[in-house]
Amino acid sequence: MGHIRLGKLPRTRRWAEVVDLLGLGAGSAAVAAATLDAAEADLRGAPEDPAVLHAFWLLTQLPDAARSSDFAGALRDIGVQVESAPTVAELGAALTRAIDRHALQQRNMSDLGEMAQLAVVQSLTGLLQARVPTLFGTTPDDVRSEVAKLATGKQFGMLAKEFFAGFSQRFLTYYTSRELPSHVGRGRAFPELTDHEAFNQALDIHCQQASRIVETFAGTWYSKSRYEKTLTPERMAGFVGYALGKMRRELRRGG
Amino acid sequence: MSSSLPRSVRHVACGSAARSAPEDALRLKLHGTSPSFSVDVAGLDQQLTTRVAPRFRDLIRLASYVLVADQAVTRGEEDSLDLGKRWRREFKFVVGVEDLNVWDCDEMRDVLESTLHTLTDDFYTFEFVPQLDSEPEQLNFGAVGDDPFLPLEGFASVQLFSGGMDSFTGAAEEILGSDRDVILVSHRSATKTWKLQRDLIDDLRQRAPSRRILHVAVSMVKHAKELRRERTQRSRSFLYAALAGTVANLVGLDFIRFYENGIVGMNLPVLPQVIGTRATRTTHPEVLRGFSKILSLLGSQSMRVENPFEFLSRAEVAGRLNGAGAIDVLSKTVSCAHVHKSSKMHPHCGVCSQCVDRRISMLAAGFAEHDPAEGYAVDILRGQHPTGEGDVLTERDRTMIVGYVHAADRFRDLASPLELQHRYPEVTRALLGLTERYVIDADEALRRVYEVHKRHGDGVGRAVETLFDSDTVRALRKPNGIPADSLPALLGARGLGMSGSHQQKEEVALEIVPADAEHVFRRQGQNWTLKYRGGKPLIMKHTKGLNYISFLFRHPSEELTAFALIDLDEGREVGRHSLSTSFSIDAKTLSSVKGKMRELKSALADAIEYCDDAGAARIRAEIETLEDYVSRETGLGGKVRRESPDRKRARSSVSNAITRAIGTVRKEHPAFADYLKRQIQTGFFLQYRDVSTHWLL
Repeated sequence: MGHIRLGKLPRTRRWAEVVDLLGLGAGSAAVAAATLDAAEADLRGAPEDPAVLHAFWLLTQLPDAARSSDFAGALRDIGVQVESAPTVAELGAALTRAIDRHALQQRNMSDLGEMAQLAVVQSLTGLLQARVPTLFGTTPDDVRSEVAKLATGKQFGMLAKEFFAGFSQRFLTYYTSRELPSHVGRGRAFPELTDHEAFNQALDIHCQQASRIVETFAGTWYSKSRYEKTLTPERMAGFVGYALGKMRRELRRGG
Repeated sequence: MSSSLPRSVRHVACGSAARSAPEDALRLKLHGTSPSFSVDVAGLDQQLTTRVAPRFRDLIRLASYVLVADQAVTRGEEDSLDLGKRWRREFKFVVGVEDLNVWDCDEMRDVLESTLHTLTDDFYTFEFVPQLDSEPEQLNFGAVGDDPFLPLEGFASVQLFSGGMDSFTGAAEEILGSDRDVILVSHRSATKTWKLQRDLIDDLRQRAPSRRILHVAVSMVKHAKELRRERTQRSRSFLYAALAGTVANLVGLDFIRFYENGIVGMNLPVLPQVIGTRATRTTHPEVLRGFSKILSLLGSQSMRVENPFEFLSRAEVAGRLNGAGAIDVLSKTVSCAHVHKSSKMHPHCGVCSQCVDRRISMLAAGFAEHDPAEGYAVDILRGQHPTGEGDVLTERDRTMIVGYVHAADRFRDLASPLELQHRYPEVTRALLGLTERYVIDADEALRRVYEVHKRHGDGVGRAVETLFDSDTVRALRKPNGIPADSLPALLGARGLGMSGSHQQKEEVALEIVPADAEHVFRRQGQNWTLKYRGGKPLIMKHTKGLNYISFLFRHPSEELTAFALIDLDEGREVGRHSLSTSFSIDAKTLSSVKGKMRELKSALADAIEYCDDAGAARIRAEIETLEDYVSRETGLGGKVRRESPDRKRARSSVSNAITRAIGTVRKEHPAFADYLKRQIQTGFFLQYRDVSTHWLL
């Protein structure tokens, strides 16, 4: 019963440039820059997208929830439904569900919102899987303790960096994956499937490197906003817009 | 298109609600002289169906309305790039029902809306009103061919049956392996699908003559062209579950079964472009959880909706079919997603995700001889039509095949369940359904999903390796030794170190410029070699304009006078007249600089607000530089000085030369010309603005 709907890039002038670059086997930075040129309006819409903002807002709320005496209760207060202090898998599932529920209540979801939803779980899982002990299994206490540590400026900066890297990588590959596989194969720009993977990895690294710019100020902003108690859903748009603007400029470097 | 634009809402009025619906509503009714569509349920005796509770009749009708509305409203073109605005639709249903009490409650509305949203990505709102007795919404019941009506007692299970490999294996296990009587519920979507299902059931009956197999099928006929606009039908499994749940209720069973392998059931995206339900969630664990809740709210007992193959790959399902003693029937089953393209000779298209998965999985399972190439219109292993007809693969086919193998490679390389969650966060949506169904915790559910994907990746990896035998590898080393659209050619040498075109291309480029240079603007004698964003190098004849551009590239972000560039071109000692020039600024530049200062001041405010200290310092420095510049270059009161004739001549000469050069570039590379136009400021003061691009000069 499984069906998958695939699309191609339109043949407008700007997208044609992306297609040309991929066909020539251009580097990931050049392709990223051309893709951002072509999809600039889409990315500019992200700070106005309620699902994107809700996803990032949830991320800002997690460290304080973990610092409360009742982690599970604090999570439920922000719409993340868990029965008790969660494991990494339970937290990921509950976050996904919270964003789904919010979208359903608001009657609003977009592809950008889904990318942000995925980036939330991806960034948190990425940090936690590297930090929690796994030899004898991860306990909810380990998870709570590591999430609580994210409440410092430096640590939240790392989380924000991972979020914006993941979101940007998903945003770029959302477009490039409509074209890239067409250039794989003998006699084409990416002769082997490994070349295709290498390109995607290079693009991932490019996004990771670009996201360092966010890390430098996200932590300070988070600490200041946390102190001023202004980490509200209404205040997210400005920061997300600013951070994505910085990401956009960084991603264009070298392109 | 902004993602935050409001989407249009489609009102759908069903049954008795249709008569008082708004003008623009989609009216769906199953009664009167001109019903919008009809629903036929074959296999249940009309007499027996009087035992179907009104709430279950409502359910079948509701699921039918949902599916018809799904097909009546387009989701936009496959290639549209609107961030899913048209993909996600919003429906407001008003539905006439017989049993208003059971439907008109928050719990039922919530579970319907959330389950259908997960299934389709669409947003639903339901309002239920009483169905008038004078307008009975008709469901047609009748026989299936020559099948006798069977008494409904004694059946052990109710399961969905499409005629695909997975559902046939489920039926074979129950009937042949466990010796049980079963009810198979199908969707009779097309004549060829129906014949396929009937043939497969006849086969099972011949193999187990003592077993009772009741075949129940639902079909819909839409009477208006407007109801056939959209083919994706993401909501279809709601109708299947509705019918199966109704039958289960009728025979007193508390479960129904879908049979779908775990890879397709979960349907993790093969490529990043596949967002949301672009990959179907027909049997997704969260959807099955929702179906279970809906059916439980309707019945007198809780109803389980199961998928016994949830943690099996397709290759493993084939092993189960073999275990049930029916692997020889594999070739008669059809898994293709493109039913409309299938023919008697080639029931499988060969290139949809289902066909690609089946073909490769049967190689992995060692049952390829039961899945002959002749059944596929396109043989992706050999890169040819069996008949030798024209082009083999479209670009979309290539995307699907590459995406499929690429995803399998990624699954194979996963090191832990948490890495699966990290790389595919979509998996978390399935965990709640699995924890509830199997009474396990989320970590265990994640581990099981990880393991089936890992095994699937291993299987695909092994299957693909078998394609690279020594003859194939030898053929790959020859220019036309292997069809370009065969799987080995498509996947490349899988690490055998062959990089045909890439190497050739780089060798050509090396004659002119280093192959790894992304941006080149270099003069060689009377020619220039230009390369932009790693693209194909351009060779152009020397012009003054190209020389001017090259000089600007050497001084990114500096403002140079036209005089300085003329000095350069005429071989004189270069008189640099950057910001310290004694010549005054022109009005256009002044306006532009002031505009830039306003932008920078706004950016500075943002940088301060969001604590970007490094960014703020850089912006302050830029503002100071511009303020110094304006104060030096303008007269008293900030007025622009008058331009001298020499200066005007120099400005026109240099600017025109650059404009002509860009025009010449445009003929070969429009995108590069656009870039130059955007980044080079002409006039008396010239500037190349881009500081981030490194040019090989």
